[in-house]
Amino acid sequence: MGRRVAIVGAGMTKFVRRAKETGKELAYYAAKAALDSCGAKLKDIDAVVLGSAPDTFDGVHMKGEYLSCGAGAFGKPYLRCYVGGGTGVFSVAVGWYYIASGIFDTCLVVCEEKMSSYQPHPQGAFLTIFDHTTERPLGPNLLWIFALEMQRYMQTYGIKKEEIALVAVKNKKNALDHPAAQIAQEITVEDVLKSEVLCYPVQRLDVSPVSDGACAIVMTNEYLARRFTDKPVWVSGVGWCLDTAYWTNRDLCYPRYVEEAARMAYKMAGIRNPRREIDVVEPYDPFDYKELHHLEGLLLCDRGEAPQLLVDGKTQRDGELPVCPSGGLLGVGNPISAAGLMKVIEIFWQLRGEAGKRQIAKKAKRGLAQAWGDLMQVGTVVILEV
Amino acid sequence: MEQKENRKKEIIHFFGQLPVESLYTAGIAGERFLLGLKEGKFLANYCPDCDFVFLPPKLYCEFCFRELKEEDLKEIENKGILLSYTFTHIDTNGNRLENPIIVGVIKMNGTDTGFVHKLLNKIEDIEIGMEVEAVFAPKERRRGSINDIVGFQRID
Repeated sequence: MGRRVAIVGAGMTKFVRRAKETGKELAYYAAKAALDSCGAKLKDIDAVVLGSAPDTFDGVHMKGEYLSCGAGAFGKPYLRCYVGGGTGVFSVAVGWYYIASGIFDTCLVVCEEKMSSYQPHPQGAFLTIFDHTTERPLGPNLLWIFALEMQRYMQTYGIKKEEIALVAVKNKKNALDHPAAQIAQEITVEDVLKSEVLCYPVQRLDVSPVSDGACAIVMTNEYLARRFTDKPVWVSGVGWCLDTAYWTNRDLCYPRYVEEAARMAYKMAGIRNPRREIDVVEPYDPFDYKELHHLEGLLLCDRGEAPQLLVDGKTQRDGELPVCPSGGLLGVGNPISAAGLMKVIEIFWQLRGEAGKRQIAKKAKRGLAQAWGDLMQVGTVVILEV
Repeated sequence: MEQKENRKKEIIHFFGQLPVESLYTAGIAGERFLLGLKEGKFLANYCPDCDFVFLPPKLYCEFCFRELKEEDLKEIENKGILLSYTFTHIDTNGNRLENPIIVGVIKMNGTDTGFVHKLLNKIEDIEIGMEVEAVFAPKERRRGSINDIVGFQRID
């Protein structure tokens, strides 16, 4: 399987609704923080991977080229990768194969998103992802997909909205301890259920916000890792998978693409029983029901059973399987690609015991981060361990 | 011709748009630069590690990643050399312009970067290597924009 790959440093900007910084400047702050965290200089970096979602968010075509200097790519092999919302976790898989293959010894992975540029609301950037012949004439709205999925999920397993709302309550509360969080708050299930209905059954507090922000990590191989840190975190598995490109043809209540991606990563990491072997998990939670959906896709519980874990308190920071200890996208914020990388960074900090007030109660040896995107059909998974 | 071919009646077709409107911030360094222009000043910044002067100024040196702070700004003189120029005879839609737009890349004295802007002289008066200076809009019309500079003109 090639060289062992480690993450040795990480950094991020605050996630905010509208940053004064340009996208380049956000990328720079995150990249510099990641380098500084492990005493690395730009000259120590062999290659740079950039993750960023649609050009239309920042309002800059060829965003990869635009962001390159802020990502530290001058004079280096550089690649932008993009699988929609799955990008943040996928970018780590790209960094992994750069190092595992032996092509490069060190790699800087930077993810940036400046969604506030899009006017009047970044949701508009998604309208043209729908089929121009059969869907766009209906005047679609991005929330359609999520509302229809959520409805199907609730119907199939008899899940109540009250149970789903607990995800938003947990994550926004967890985010109170995250210094970079945008919408951390203490709310109740009732607050969620009383919030404005956006696209039934999706309500305002079920949804993550529009955000600007950037994250970065430094990756290297087993030979150099200890030059940068005493506490390398190893990437033991990566996986990614696409479902059908027709969102209506997927199983709306089960994310098979996540399962396939997870199986690829588990196999690589030698994990036979993920429920016993994964200590902490950051599933993608742009909507509260998606955290539950994804826990099931990751095979961390039976289908339709994720809400029970939540109700029983098992997914709290002091529970058996802490889920989104960071506060997730619902609490920390959702600058698309940066949000996915934030999840990987949270697992990195948790495994090193550096998560501060967010540190989970149990001693964690292995954690998983997952994201989801494209036309909602890509699953990306990274497994880290110490 | 090609467009007409695309609109043949026997082919079912429809029009759509990719609507994009953006609101950009100038950024930390960009704002420092534009506020300088508003005052009729060129603010550049210097990376001592790379011995390199950026105009417009940047938040960071892209070569070594040193952060360039407010105190690294320095005003440079309004004088430079024309490195290259072109006359644009068509607009972005391919229509012929009555008066061509002349743009050039200028290396301002004391900087290591190129600066692109319009040239105000007649075509026959322009040559590579000539010394130029920026013409600023009247103070009351400046609003912190790259267009606070009307263009560059030859210094004789």
